Amino acid sequence: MLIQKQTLEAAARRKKKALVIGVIIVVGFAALFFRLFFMQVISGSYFRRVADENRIQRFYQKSSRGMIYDRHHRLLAVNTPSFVVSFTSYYLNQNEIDRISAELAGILDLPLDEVREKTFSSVQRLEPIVIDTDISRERALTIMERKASLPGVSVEIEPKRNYPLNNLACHVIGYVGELNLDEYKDKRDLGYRIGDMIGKTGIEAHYDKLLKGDNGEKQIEISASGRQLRLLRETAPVSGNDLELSIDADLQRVTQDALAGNSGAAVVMNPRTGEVLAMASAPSFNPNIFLRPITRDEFQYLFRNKQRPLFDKVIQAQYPPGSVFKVVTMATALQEGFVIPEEKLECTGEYLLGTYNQIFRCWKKTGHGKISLMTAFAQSCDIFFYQLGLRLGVTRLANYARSFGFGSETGIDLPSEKKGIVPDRAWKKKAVKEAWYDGDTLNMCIGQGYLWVTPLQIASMMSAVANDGPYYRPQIVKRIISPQGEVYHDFFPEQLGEVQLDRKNWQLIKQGLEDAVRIGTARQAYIQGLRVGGKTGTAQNPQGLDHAWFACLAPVDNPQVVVVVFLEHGGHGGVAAAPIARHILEAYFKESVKEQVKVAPDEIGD
Amino acid sequence: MRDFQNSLRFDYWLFIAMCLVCIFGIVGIFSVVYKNPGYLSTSLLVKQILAFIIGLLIIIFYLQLNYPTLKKYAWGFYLTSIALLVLVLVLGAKVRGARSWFMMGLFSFQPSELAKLAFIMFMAKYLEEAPSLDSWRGLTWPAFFLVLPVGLILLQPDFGSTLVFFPVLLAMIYVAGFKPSYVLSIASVVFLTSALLMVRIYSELKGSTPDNFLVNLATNLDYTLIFLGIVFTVVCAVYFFLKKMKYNVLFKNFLTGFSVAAFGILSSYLFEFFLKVYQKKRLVVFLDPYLDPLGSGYNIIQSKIAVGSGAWAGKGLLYGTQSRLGFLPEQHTDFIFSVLAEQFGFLGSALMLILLFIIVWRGIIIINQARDEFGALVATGIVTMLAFHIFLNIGMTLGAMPITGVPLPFVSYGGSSLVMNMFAIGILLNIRLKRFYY
Repeated sequence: MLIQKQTLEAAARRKKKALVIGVIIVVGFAALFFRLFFMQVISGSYFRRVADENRIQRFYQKSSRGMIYDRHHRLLAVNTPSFVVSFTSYYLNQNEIDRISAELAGILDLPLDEVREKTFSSVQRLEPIVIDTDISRERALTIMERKASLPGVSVEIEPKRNYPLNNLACHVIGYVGELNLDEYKDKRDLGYRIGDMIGKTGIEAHYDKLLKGDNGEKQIEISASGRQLRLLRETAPVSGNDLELSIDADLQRVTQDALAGNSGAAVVMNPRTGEVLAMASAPSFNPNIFLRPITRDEFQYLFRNKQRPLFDKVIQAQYPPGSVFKVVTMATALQEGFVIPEEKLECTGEYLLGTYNQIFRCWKKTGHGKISLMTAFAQSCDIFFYQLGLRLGVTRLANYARSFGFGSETGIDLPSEKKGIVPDRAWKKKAVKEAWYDGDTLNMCIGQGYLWVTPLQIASMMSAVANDGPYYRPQIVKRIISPQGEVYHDFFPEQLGEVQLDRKNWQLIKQGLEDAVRIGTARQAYIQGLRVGGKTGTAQNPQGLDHAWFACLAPVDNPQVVVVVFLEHGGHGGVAAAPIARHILEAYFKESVKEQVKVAPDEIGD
Repeated sequence: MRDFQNSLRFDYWLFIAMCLVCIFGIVGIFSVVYKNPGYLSTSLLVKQILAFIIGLLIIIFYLQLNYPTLKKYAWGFYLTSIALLVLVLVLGAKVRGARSWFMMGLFSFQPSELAKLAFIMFMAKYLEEAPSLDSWRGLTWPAFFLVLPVGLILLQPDFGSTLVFFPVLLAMIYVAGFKPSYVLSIASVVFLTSALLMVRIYSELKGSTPDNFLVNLATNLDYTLIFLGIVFTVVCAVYFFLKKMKYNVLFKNFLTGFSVAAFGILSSYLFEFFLKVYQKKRLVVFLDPYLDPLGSGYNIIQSKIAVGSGAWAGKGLLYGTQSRLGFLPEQHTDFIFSVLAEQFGFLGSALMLILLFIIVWRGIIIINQARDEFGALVATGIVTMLAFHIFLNIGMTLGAMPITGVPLPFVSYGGSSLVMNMFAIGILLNIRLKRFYY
């Protein structure tokens, strides 16, 4: 009995102990089970992706960027083949890699350390590393000849951007550069990769998505030792779309030459459509500089220059328009009935603003005497316009200015356009924290003071005058052509706004413009046999020489073209800017006669 | 009649689960060696199948015997294994810096595998007959019998193979009647030692040391000693306070608790002294494989990718990219589980985990059913050995345990290990079969 009892007790004890061990083991297995579940079921797709990254190596083939032509299909931006040397370290041992690095450094004339650093990074990342780009043909051939002693080294041909006409239309076209890290973060999802070229400014930037095309890709399965096993997927690169600009390279050349030596801007536009025929900002630069290592002098020229060559003054320079703005003041006064063309006012060279006891002067110190509106406009008399301005008040003036397109972007297809400022009571209160004084109105009605415009906005204003009201969005790109040669976007004029003025008032303004050229301040723009209408402007600059403006259209009875010239510190508009515009107009009308003859047979075919 | 009874008492669950797991392993080895571009040849598959057949023959043969006869041979078994462990240090072939193998023509033999089983049998016999297990002194001889094979295996050196001896002994003395509180104390010391060791090595390798209590305790000896001093004072104060309040508390309990803490903390310092840099790395790299992504962390990173990318249903037999393309290291031995998990997904690896669990669970039932103390102790040793190997190996492949290089029982390539583990299952089957024999 005793023995049996002892045995039973022992059995019970043992059962308890077996249970304790059992519980520990169950807990252990449960932990493994959940960990397994978590890794394979919950995170399975993540690990599947990591496993694919492990085994799949991607090789990219750069797409060919779309070309850029002018309106007569002359090349402005092309791609030239360039040789790129890269190295992949598969299955090579250290001695081999050292030897190859030394040989490459010799051929490419690069410091050995630099080459070695690159070959080592290929060892770590098991992927091709670019050793040098854009090497000469001779060096490329040397490497190809020595292929047997340079395992892992490959020379590939990649398209490289080139601007054959150098400085021509540099601000319009812009330039490309390697995608930087910030841009990569923004655009990763759009298919950009590090090392891709991306448009940095101008058309290259604005139309980058259309120009860039899609990189080709090869996915190759590799083993852990880096051996390539099989091709999994291959997509061919797709070239980008070509762009045809409305720019006329010849006229652009003339415009740039005419501006040479100045700091300023000029734009030539077709007022009926908004097509930009020439658009220049001076000084210019050579966009090819950005495609190779930049020299010290080039850097100094581009970045340490008060005249800011990289700045597109046509759309980014904001200055008071000076007397050019009298077009708006006159339009407002006529339309709102505050003046009749025959009205005469006295100009003594000085104007006393009664309430403030402040003297405002005319540019002509001796005064114009008793003159009519038309004469005042042609002679650009300030005193006459002061009085008009006081009659109108700032609100009316500002509203008309806005209807002419001032204070907002023109919407041209270029990046970083500025919109200028149309001041009024509310704006001044907010920006300057001061009330609006009559003196401000006097300044504004002759285009000085707080009013800021871009040369392109002035071109829009002149277009409105040319078209008797409507004006169009300035456009640079005329056609977008797919790599297969299909035109999938054709130019179409887009109305940007319309100024509501009676027909007779438009006639008066145009007559005023023509008078200014014939007998007024803009006589320097006079061309025999062409009815040119224009307005000069001189933006006062307390810091230095005044800024010169000139805006014109021609011919006055049926305007085909608008030209705006702006010169930073150029002095008087009639003296400095008007001759440049005349030069451009002469070239345009000579060209356009040629063009009509040349283009005619095609037109019939259409 | 006896045949009929035998057929009822034969543990089909255990036997079939074991066979299925072995077949899993053979399939895994097949998928590794099939058209392997590297050094692994198809002969590995043949050898593993051969070892499996030998194992089956041993089981069948052994079922005819009665397990208590083992008691007679336990001494001989143990001494033979010790002798072989000595011999292998002299005659063994050096493979990857360790003399763990006898090379005999086509076949090789790993005496440490035999030593594990011999130790279990011998310890079972000793503990059954042991005069007293009431005090710490009862541990003297078991500790001695453990140190002998463990020391010899460390001389090879094969750190991973020695680990299993400790939990096996602990479980066996527990079942044999050693005081549970003592067992708990030992387990606590081991836990504390390894945990603090890992914290210290980890923060050492990581470079930057966060300033918190645990890290200070693990890394700063002065800090530790001061901490222990304060704890000791508090313990004494509490004890005397309780005594004043007439609570009858044994001072010994306080002392034991304190000793466990002190011993654990201090021995973690001692251990670090003996470990080599690569061993330290392998010990903690699972906490952050990117500490050493191209060295010891590489295995863990690749194994986790292999297992995880298996997802639900796996990539299919022979379509495991991690294993077929050679990203996974030690595919046929340490990381065979990853190979299978990648190919068969969660469905396959969970099935394998369940089969392994069945084996261990049947073992626990057999501990309970064994007709005598000896049988129960042998079963305890075997169950602990198998479970420990399973946890360490699978835990390692899942990146949840240190890299110790222990094989997965029945699955990893290795004839000695497979045959010995199958022999162990044979013993378990025999203990169950003969449970009503007196």
